[in-house]
Amino acid sequence: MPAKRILYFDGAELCARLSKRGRLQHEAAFRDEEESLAAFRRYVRSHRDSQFFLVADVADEGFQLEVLPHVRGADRAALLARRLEQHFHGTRYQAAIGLGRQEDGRKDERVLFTALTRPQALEPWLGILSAEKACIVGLFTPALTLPSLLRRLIRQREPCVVVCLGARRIRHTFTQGGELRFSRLTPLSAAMRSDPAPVCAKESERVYQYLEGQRMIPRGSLLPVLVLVHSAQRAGFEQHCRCTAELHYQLIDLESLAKRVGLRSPLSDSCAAPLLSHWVSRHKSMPQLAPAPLRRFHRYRQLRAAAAGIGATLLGASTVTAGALVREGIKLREGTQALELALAAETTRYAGLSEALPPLPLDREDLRALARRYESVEKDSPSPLDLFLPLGRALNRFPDVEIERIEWYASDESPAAHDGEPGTAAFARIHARLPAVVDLHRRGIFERLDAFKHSLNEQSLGVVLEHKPFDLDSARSLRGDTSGSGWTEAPQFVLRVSPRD
Amino acid sequence: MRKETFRHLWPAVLLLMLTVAGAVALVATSARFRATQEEAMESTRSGLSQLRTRLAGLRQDEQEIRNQMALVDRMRARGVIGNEDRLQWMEQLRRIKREHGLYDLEYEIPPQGILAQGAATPAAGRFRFYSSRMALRMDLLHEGDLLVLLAEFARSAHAHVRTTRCTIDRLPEMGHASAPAAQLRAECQLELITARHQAEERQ
Repeated sequence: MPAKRILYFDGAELCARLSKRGRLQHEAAFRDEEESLAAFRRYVRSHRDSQFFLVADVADEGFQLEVLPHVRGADRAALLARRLEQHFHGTRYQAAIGLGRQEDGRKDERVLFTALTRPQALEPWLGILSAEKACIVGLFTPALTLPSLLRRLIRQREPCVVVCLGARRIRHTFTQGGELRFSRLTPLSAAMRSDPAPVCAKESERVYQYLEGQRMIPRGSLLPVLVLVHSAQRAGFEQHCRCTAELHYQLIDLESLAKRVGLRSPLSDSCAAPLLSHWVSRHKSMPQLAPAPLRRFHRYRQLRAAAAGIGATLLGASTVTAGALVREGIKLREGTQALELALAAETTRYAGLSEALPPLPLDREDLRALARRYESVEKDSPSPLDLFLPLGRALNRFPDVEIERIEWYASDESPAAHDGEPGTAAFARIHARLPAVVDLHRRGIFERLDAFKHSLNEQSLGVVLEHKPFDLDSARSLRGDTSGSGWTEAPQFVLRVSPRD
Repeated sequence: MRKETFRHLWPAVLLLMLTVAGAVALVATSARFRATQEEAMESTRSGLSQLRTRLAGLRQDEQEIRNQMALVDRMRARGVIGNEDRLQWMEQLRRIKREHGLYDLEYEIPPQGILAQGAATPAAGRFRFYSSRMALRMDLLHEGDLLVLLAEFARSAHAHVRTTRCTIDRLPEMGHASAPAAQLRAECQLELITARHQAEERQ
């Protein structure tokens, strides 16, 4: 981190301080004289890597408050530049501070224009800094610094005046709602420096009258006055700065305030320069008056720092990401190794099982196909015995049934069965007859036939009567007599028998 | 001013570009490493999964293989696999006739053909099944003789014997014969099935 050096210029002398960890270390003081300027040049050259904060505590400071139409972008920049040039022609140390938009009407923007009206006083110092390519962070003034320094104290008070002292001056800064309106510097003579309290009271009255005259405060209103004072001088201020109907004084302990904002160096008097220097070095984003060309080395440094920051962030992020990816990769590799071990074990197991198998006489697929085909052939090979055995058992109970012909088929040879479906049921066609001495009644013959069929059913055979002993169909002829002389021919019939599922 | 700006900023910009390149390379390399490891793991996992599937199949197959090998052994032992042996079939018929005291029988075997198969019949791989149909005629004392002949021939012939049809007719009575006369006449159609490997056929 580059060192921070605050150059505090009070119009006559430039005081150089080093800010380090909340402590301010006085390094040198320079005047606008040839030798002193040369010493300043050497000083800057020897600390070229530092960041330089300029604070100009001078009386030549101008303020103009305006209400402008609200525009944006390049239009706004051009409008502000034009107005600055109109108000403060001849100085490049100027700034336009936006104070927000009005709440009613066109909602125009309120802008405070401020500038150092006597730039010549700063040229020697800024010239050296620029020639030595020093990194100028900004050109600040106490008026621009006080509002942020005392934000908590002054925001609630609207409006108020802040009084701060320097080595040879007293400054009254008027704020409204925490925003700067104007600032006025009163030099202190040598006699007044030891007891500035009466000057403070007198100048406060003048400021009140001015504000009243400018209608910046209502006539006869009570104006708070905050005075930053060292505890050693408090008694004197209490004596001279007494509250009136118009001015309400409040003494702010400078040491307490310094401690609150992190300034660790002790303060010996009411000079606010160390406090302002410390605050400026901590808060670079305050309004400032240095033009962009003067700040370009600071901008370069910021860009380099940003590039380094981006690079470091990118590198850090990529390292973290790469680390996570590599970690994942290593985990995956460990997982792969575990899987490989499992694979090796399973391969061994597979090889062992394969070896335990009997040697195949055939290719595996051939073996499977051959076996399956032969199984279907076996399944499709019924035996006549399957029907003949139960048929024989049934015939044993019907010795009067005479078999003339048995036709056995392995499968149904009807056209529907020509696709050779396996397992097609075998069947037998039995041509038989009953003897001629059987009871003459046709009904008796049928009863006998039914009994035989029933006997076959009991043997788990399905029976279909394909041809009856005689036809009783109404569509056919029927011949007979009632003599009861018996049949000259044995009644014949044909049965189709098949295994029952 | 632009030259001055370039002079002040180019080292930082160059360093930033190198850092970006380095960061990108670092992330890309580590991502590649991870991707490679992931691929290797997926490949190994896939191989392991396939092996386990094959292992499970092998265990299942083992019993099936044993059963199928036993079946094939039975087929070989019965002479179903290989060229058909018609001489052996004739010898078996004569033996059965002699041993069981059967009447003479007649047989006719046309040329061998391919065994018919339906749409649902399993394929036989590189084996081909052949069929020789045998027409058998014989006189019987009783139907039991036919059953004995068919059973014994099916057991001993070097082929798978399938009976496709049989017809048994009663013969007319011969009156007072000195010796027991045949009561029945049987006519049967048999299918003798064998199988051969296509490689053996080419030889």
